[in-house]
Amino acid sequence: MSGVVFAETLRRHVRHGAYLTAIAVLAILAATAGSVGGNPSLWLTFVTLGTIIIGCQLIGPEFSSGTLQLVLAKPVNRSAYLLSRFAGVVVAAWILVTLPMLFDVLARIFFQHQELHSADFAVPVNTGIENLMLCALLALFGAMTRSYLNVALYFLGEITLYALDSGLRSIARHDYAPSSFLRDHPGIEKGVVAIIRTLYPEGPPTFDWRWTVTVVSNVVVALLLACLIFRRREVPYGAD
Amino acid sequence: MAPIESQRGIPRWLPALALLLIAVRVGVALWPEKKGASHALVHWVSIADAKGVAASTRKPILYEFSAEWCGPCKLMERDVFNDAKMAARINEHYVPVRVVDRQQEEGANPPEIDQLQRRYRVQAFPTVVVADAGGEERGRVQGYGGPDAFTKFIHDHAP
Repeated sequence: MSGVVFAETLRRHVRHGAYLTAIAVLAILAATAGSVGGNPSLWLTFVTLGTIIIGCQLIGPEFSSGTLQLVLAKPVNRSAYLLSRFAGVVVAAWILVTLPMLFDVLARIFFQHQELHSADFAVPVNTGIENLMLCALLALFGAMTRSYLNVALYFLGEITLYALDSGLRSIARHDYAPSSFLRDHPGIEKGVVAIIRTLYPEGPPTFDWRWTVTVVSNVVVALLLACLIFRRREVPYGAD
Repeated sequence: MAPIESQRGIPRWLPALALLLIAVRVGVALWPEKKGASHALVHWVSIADAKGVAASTRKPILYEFSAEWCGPCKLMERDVFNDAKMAARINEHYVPVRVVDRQQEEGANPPEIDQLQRRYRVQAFPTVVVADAGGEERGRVQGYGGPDAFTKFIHDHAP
């Protein structure tokens, strides 16, 4: 890991006007939701959106802008560089969850006089863990593509897998030619669902250490793959 | 300047950590089988936790009353609760609680299941009841009328 790359990545985000505005807006949304006893998923949706915007800049745009060529001309370990960028982005993304969560909780205490339950913290914390996987996937896709194609691949994968799952279910329910085959082999549907749950995890409403361990192990595997791809990647000058 | 090869090296701790976590994950996958937990797509919440979670998340509770021997319940499980898209919708909008009847298997139900069945006047399986955090009923559907009817029910009663 490179402390300089991590600090620079974090600094670049937390000092950006758009990032600070996003935090302020999220804090207001969270405080409003908390004061009227609203569902935290109202503001957590925007946290995920913010994480996608931060995460899509993880590595691809640096390739296209020429920054990466300049950085790799120095004796920097590629994996350390990628992991430090990832860590910087994750911390920036977690700040996006943590600060509004505090406003949400404080508003619930002061305006709703609500007794705090573990779910008040579990839902935002699990969203933070979900976003860890999101950033790992954006790092993985970014390691093999240019520009903002990582985020395009992320959405393409999600849409394709959900469409495939719906399609298989629909075929299995009706009386088409492969319907009986799908009904006889339920492992096919289960396999697609398992891939969806691995790549696009969805946090439970309570703390669940099994789910957390599963997601974190997937994150580490995705990062290992990203490093393996990135170490072999050609980064010629004037790539784009 | 460090040699070029070191620029492309992988930190040793990363594959080691990946292997360790994969080993832990395998252990985690085996653990719930012993304890009888499920790998359900829907994040079922226990009866005891349901009201607390509903109050915190401001979502209504979705009680699913079913039984092991009930055929339509299994059909609903396959079509609805094992459908990733549908499960995601349920997790997003509701606090799902599964209430499995044990009358036939054990002769009597645990008191909390008995109480819920009486409160929501459950007469057949499956019965799905939507209730607010205070337990007030907001909607119900008795029997399984297919995925489309259930999707409409879920959509109509979502906050």
